Amino acid sequence: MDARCEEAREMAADLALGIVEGEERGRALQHLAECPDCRAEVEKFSDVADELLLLAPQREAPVGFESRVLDELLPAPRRRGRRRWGLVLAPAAAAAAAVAITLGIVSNDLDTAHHYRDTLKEANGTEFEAYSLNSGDSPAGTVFSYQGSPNWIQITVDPGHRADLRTAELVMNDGRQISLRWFHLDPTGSSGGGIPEDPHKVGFLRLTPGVGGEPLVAHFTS
Amino acid sequence: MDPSDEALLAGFATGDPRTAAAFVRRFQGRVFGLALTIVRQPAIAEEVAQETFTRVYRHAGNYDARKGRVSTWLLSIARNLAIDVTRMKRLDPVDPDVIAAEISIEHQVPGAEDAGLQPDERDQLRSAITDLPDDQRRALVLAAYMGRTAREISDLDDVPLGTVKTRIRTAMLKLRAEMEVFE
Repeated sequence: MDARCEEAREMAADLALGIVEGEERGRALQHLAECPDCRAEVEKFSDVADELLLLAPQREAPVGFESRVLDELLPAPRRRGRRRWGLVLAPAAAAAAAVAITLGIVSNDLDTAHHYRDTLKEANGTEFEAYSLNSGDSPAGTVFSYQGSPNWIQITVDPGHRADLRTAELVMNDGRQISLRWFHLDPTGSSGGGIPEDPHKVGFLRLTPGVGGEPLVAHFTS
Repeated sequence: MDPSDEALLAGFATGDPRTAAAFVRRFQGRVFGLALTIVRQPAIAEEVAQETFTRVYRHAGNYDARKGRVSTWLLSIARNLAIDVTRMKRLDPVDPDVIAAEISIEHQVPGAEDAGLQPDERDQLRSAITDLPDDQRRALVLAAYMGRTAREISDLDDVPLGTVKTRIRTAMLKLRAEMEVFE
């Protein structure tokens, strides 16, 4: 073992922790490339450093994290039920989109929103998203959400699912329930209005019919 | 049987949607947890975690199973990104005692079991860290989680550089001895 080995072993723990910098690090790495014994010494400390990171507390990732990662990395549409365009909307454009939807350009196909792409190109850092509204496992409409100032949602319900819907409420990720008092379907099956919270904090929207009916639910996450 | 971490990583790298989703789901709790431990702010931790998966997706070809497990490769990327963002955004320094307390407690989210040490062995490692003298534990946490060099710790704590190096090395030797018992 020569002087270079002694130096490398002296700093083996620091090398494993990744806290050696600059010329000192370069010199050490050069030696490790040539010396299997010193390399083995550093690797033993690396096992410790690795385990230290695994001791960090695991935390539930934020709601929608998985979707955001995959939307960013995988180009093709991947899932039924939710689509994010990553568009950023100017308030005027968002309002225009809301009006357009309210006027009855309604479909149970989420791709409907592509019609608004041109309108929505003006960006202000806020997102427009769409979610499937379902009756059990069956599609029953679409919910559009806009994150901005103000936040709003637009609900469209397919024919056949509109009868006797009486109340709408948001169930937040933290369990709170927010009643949407403005909810009332117009003849085209649409209803929209402001919501007091960021749509990202919404767990799901529930539309409840009269006694005995099955509620319609739109989950705001994947 | 669940696919291995390596199989999920390979699928993630090819862009297979199902495998990619499974990969992110398996590791997101660990990555976000480590990022939050270092940066302390959920929104910034999420940025770090998302960038971690982006880096992994783009550089999956660099992963070498001979050099370590997928989980530790992923976490080392998250750690380095979190340290970079802490410096770039000049975030308030975290009290290393807080991190030391956090890592001394088991925090497991469902579906995130790891290869490597068994749970009871990991508990022993936690105990070994708790049993370190305060100054060694502080130096170790500052280095391992906050990326502080021995020189930076020396300046921060106003102790000689040689003393800091000894503290880190002694702490690591004790933990290494503890892990060698497991083998």
